[in-house]
Amino acid sequence: MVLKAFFPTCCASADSGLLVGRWVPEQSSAVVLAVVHFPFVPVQVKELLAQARQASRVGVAVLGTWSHRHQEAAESLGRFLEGLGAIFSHEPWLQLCRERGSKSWSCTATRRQVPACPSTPHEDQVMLVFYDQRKVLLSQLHPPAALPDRQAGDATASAGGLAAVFDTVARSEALFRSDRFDESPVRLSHWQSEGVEASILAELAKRASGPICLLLACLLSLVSAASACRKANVLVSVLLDVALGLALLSWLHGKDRIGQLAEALVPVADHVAEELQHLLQWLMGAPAGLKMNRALDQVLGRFFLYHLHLWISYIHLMSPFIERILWHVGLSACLGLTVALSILSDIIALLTFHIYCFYVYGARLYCLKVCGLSSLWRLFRGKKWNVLRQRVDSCSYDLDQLFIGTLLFTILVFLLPTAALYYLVFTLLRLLVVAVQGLIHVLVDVINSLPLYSLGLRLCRPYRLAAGVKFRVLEHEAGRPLRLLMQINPLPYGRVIHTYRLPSCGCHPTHSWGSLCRKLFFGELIYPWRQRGDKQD
Amino acid sequence: SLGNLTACVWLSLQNSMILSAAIFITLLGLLGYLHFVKIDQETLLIIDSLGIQMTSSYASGKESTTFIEMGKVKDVVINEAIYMQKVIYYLCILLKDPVEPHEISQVVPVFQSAKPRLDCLIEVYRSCQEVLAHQKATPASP
Repeated sequence: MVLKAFFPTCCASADSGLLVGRWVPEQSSAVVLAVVHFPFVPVQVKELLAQARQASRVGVAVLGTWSHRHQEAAESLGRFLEGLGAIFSHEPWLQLCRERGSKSWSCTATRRQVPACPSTPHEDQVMLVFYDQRKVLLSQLHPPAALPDRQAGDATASAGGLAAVFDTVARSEALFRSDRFDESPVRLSHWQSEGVEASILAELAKRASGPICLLLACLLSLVSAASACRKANVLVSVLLDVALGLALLSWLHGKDRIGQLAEALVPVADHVAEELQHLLQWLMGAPAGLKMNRALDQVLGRFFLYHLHLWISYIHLMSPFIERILWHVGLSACLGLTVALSILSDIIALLTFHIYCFYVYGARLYCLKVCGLSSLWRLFRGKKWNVLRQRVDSCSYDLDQLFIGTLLFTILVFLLPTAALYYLVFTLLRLLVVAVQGLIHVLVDVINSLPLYSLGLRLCRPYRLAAGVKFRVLEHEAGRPLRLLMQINPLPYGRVIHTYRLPSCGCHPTHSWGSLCRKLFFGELIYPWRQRGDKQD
Repeated sequence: SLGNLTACVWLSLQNSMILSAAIFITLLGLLGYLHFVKIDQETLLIIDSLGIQMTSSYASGKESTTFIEMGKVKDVVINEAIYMQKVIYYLCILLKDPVEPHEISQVVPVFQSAKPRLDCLIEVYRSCQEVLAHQKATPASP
């Protein structure tokens, strides 16, 4: 197998030294984490590596040598580097070499022990893969969705070679603490040495921000034991909600808008009631050219008109208090825009209560009719509904039973269109109100469950959320090893929303379209906000 | 009738608001098409012992990449499909099932938008098989 050497781009311009990193034998890949510069004492290097191994539980070791020199290099350097192979023994021993000022790299990997089977070559073929250490350190891999019949334990086992690279870099924090600019016995080069701030103020700010970030992390961890990204999402969503609510509040309380709203409310309610009255008068006449049963029509029409008259009186009774109530309700917007929207939805429900009542009356009447009709239709055919066995059985009726049954059936059939029309009209009105409430609920749901922090992160720092990696082939010369650049493939926006979506209140409609139509046809009442587990009335 | 329709369209065009809105929507639609639909180039990069990478570059410059590790790849084959009255050929990558090593869990077609013909596909297939054969000949060393 070709030996893959993962080399950080920040070390490409570093001075000669030793390569320190982790060797993954299953993928035959060497992950280089840092370069140790001359001069060093081998004992101290080994001590540092043992410390790093203990702290991060990653098997860091000396992997080989790195030489970055001019063309006319001293022979002594070459021999010195070969001598190092004897001090730090590692299988296989890498030797990376780059000529200063040019792009030609060379890499060899040698194995000391000659293997048993002679066909395996003594020197392996090497492939160089450059990676940006800081980005790989900070990014989080999101593997594609697992198959449903796999247990969670399998996921880590078949994680794949690249996940191992990310894992290695992420866990090697201990190694990155000391730098080549620090005054320690061992000088390392890694992503931290990419540049020190020139201004002392910037350096101080960076050092001061450390404790602040720690404090924030502590605060977040106090809230719950979930991952940092989810907590940040919740926090940002809540903050945005409150901010929008305060904006709404300031808009409402400026320029006496509440007073204007209150003044406009009663005439609007009156107007709606008047329209309903016109509708009922129309139904009591000959609606759309249909001829209704006069007596039933008058009864139903007058009943609904009286109900409407009661409702208008109630609204007029309430009108002096409306402004006060609205003002206090407007204050609740400081808790968040979602609270204000939910209260708006409740106010709509209260104001259209008469439509709800009309719908229930119409539905109950229609349901009664349909039940009666179906039962009498069975009697017509000589059958009966067996409640014990929940099926239709044949039954022999007496003559007087049949006679009365047929009479009642005829009456109900001829009264059906009237009741059906009232039911249809009020159901449509009720569905309109439910649709408006549903829209408001969907808006509240979206505001609550949208992961804004993750979306912002994907926009500004796309390498933090990685869906995978992508490779680019760099200039290739014959005889030199193949060089690739590994970049992070960011997660697409759809998957960001899908993965980090906050749990919404789960009030999805429990009926499918088919069952909804069935209920409407048979006149059963529809309760839009009942959950599946609640007891049905 | 046609005369009425023409008069209606002419009147709406006279109104500059509707005209500018229509132009704006057309421009947006064009940009959206170039960014999300029109694929200019498709690339397949196969690297021995690393994996297979498929890139599609759109007309607006956007590139969408998918990388499959070599451990997951079972084979690269040319599949035949009968579509209406013709037979079409497409190149696809077979992925191993992690639970059952001899089963195929997924078939990933490549060059979905370019749809090259059989002669191009055979050349690509031969190159892929060379790399895969080399990869299978030298299995992972301990």
